[in-house]
Amino acid sequence: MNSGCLTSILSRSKRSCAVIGLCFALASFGAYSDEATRALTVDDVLGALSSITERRDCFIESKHTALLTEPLKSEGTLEFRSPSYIEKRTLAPEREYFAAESEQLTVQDARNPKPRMLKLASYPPLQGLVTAFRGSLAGDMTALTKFFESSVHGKAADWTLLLLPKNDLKKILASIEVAGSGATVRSFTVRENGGDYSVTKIVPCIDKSVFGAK
Amino acid sequence: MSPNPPALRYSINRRQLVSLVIFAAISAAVFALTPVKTDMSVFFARGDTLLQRLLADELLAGAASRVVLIGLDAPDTDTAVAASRTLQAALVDHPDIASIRNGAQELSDAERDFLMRYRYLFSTRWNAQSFSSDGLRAALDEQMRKLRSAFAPFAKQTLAIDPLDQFWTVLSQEAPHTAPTLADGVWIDTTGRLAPLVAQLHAGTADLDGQERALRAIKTAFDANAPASVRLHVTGAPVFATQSRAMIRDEVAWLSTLTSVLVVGILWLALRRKEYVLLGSLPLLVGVVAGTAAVGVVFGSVHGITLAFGATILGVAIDYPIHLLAHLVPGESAHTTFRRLWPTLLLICVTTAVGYGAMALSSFSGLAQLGVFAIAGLIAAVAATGLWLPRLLAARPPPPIPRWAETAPVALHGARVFRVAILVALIALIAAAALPGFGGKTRWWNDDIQSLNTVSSEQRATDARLRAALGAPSVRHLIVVTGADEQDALAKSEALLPQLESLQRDGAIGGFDAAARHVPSIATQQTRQRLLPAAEPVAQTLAQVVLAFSFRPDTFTPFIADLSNATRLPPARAADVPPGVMKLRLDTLLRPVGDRWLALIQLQDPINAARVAAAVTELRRDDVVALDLQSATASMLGDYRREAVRWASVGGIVLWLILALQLRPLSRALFAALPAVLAVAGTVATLHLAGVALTLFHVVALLLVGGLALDYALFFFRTDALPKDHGATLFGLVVCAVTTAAVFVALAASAVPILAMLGTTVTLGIVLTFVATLALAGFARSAL
Repeated sequence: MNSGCLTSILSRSKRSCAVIGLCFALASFGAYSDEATRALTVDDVLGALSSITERRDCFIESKHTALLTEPLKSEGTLEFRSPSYIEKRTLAPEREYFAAESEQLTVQDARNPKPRMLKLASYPPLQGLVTAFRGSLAGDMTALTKFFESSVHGKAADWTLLLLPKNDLKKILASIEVAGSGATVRSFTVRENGGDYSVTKIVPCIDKSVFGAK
Repeated sequence: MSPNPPALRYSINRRQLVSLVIFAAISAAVFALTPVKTDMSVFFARGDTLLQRLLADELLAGAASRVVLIGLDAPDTDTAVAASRTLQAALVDHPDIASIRNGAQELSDAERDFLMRYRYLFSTRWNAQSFSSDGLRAALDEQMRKLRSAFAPFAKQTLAIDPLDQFWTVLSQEAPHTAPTLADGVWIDTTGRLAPLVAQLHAGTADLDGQERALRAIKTAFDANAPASVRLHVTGAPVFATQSRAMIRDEVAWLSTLTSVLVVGILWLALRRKEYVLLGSLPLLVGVVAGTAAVGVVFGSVHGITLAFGATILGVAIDYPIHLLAHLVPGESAHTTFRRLWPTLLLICVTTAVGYGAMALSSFSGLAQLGVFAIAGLIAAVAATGLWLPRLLAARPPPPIPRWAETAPVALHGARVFRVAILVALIALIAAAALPGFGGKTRWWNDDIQSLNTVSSEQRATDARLRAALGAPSVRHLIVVTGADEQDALAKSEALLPQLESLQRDGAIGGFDAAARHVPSIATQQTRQRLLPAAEPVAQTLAQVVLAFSFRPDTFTPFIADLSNATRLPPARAADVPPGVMKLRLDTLLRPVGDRWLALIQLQDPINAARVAAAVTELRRDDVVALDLQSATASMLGDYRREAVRWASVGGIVLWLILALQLRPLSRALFAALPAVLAVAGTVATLHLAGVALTLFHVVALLLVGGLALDYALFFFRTDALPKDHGATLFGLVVCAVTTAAVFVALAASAVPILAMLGTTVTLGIVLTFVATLALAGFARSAL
């Protein structure tokens, strides 16, 4: 089991994948079973998440809005590098590149092929969203606390991190739910105040068929 | 030493006592009735041209004169943000502060509604094609893309009413391009540790007390709330104005105390009698009162600088009683002595008054005040010396003439080689400065108003740092457009927008702000309105286009309804803008001056002034002017300075002509003018060699030096002197020169640049005058 994890790290050192998360979850299994009676805390979940410093996965996003008769779907890759780099590369139906490195935002799309550099702080709602995604993947309690009240539900192998916005962010966002297992994040659900919501599922990039979906 | 109080008391009879009391009462009334001003307005001509008026207006009462920039320096972003919020909250309701922004206050809801309503009339980015089926399809496609993107939360707010995105276009026209970034809704500079705030005060430069109250409130609010790790920087015109006032006040207070002590001390040492010291100061006091009263009557108020400057210039008035006292002879009544000295004293007074009379004609109200002050003061002082002193002195024993004063003239007369050496040295000094090799590197003149400013370079650096952090417009460069009325000025500035945009693209300016960018002219709005299609056909086209998308069918009902509103909207004037940030900007950028209207175009750094000026010149229009406030004030000061030189030269020539009428033959008059010429030229040469470029105020100081030199020469070269007068004359002159020099040495130590300049120049001048007069006096006696 340990050797499997090790080979995985050695062979694909640049990438992290569900296998690593699984290894981690299994390795920690003993500890969890010992304290089966103790409730899972935010620190437990963030601690597990922070053990992985590089992630590269695929995402499938569907946005539900009252303006449209059907959800908007998009797919691409989601990359994270500790401590503060996050990159969302939408590949279908239209390419969009969106990356944040600490406070610097870089966006690029088919209409604006020249990358635009923006300050994250100038777009408070985006700053909140980036913090939720990046902070969860990094297991960064300090960053999350700045914008959200966090709580955790479920058990180590199947947890939900609930982020409730503070301050001005409350005017737009109702909540963000991060669901996962051990050190793996499975989905982000962003709920807006008007009832609109979006679900971003995180899947391993092994199944290339996701790119052919549309 | 036995001062004789009973004698003094005895010597003042009732009439004299009454006259002293009346004088004291008049003095009190004069100072109570004459307002003392300390603002910079004295430096500006009551403008004849619109540009001069604008310049004075902009610097004295413009929006810039009421804006305070605040910076909070903290160890980290969170602390800076928290401190910024607390300070803003503490000051937002203060009665002396009109508004305080830290970034949190954006466009008000009323302003956003206004811009949304007028978006088709204000936006530059739509045409008839935008409402065709191709145009609408492209717009909906873009909206779908936005919904999918990370920016969906922003897009959704206006999608239904504004699928053409004209509201965002108008918003981006409205927002300054260089606004600082936000951290948690609060401005923060690029280092992340400086939180800038902008406060606008109610009080302008005319109400420095109000400005001072507001600044104190900022300081108090900061001290009460901010943690110790945060540092406060406050800058802007109100800070400079109040600090400069406080500084001038303090300086004038301690300088007048110090100089009074010095003068009294020297008089005491020289004259050895308490009553002489008192009597000696009397003409000076009379002069100051008369000068203040005259300026008050002519100008309505007196400037603090005039008072300080004028009082020191009037310091020469103390020479009159000194000369009188020094020339007293035992057994001779003071009246007789005065009658003997009268022609010389009168000549001194007239010549000096003529010198300053030239200044009274200046269009620079600061100089004119000084001229009036000096003339009135000198005449009053000499009158007091002649009419009052002899009575008060009665039959008082003369002060002892020290032995050195008796022997020095004889010794000096013998030391021919020494005298020649001094003259050669003086001439060599003047020649050295005139030669390009030595003084060539120094400019002769300096007309930069900054050199007169009491603002320290450190403060100016803080100011620049905060302005950069805020992306505040340049305080130096702007373009001024004038028009017959609001719409005329607006339309003219609107026509410049393409050129300004191209200047910005080419990097000649960092950015710009113009009223026409916030509210277009009515003509432009009407042109755009005529282009708007009727709502019904657009609704039909849209109904077809929308089928290709997954939008709910009724999504764009608000868009269609609003389009028919827009076609009926009356075009907006500046006055229609609801109160808020935008209104404040507009009031600064578009306003009436006299019977004309001004549209200002503010520029942002970095600015290539030459290219801006070239672009404006290319327009060949006299209603568009590129204004550089710094060079405009410099050229204004330059004009004053040239005027001062001109008037001083005229004064000098008139002065010498009077002298020539009095002193005959002509060779004697020419000779008497020599020390003055040598002293003035020597002073200029020394300053130039020391790397000092001369300002307007040096010219005034040089005029004073020239006047003093003539006074000294007149006494020395007097033809009607008694033999024993030689010692008395030298004694009197030494006392005069030492008191005057002591006063100006004290001034040279002042932190107010103008006073320091005056002090250094006159001190130098007096030393050179004295040296030149002594060196020449020996020749005078032997030659004439």
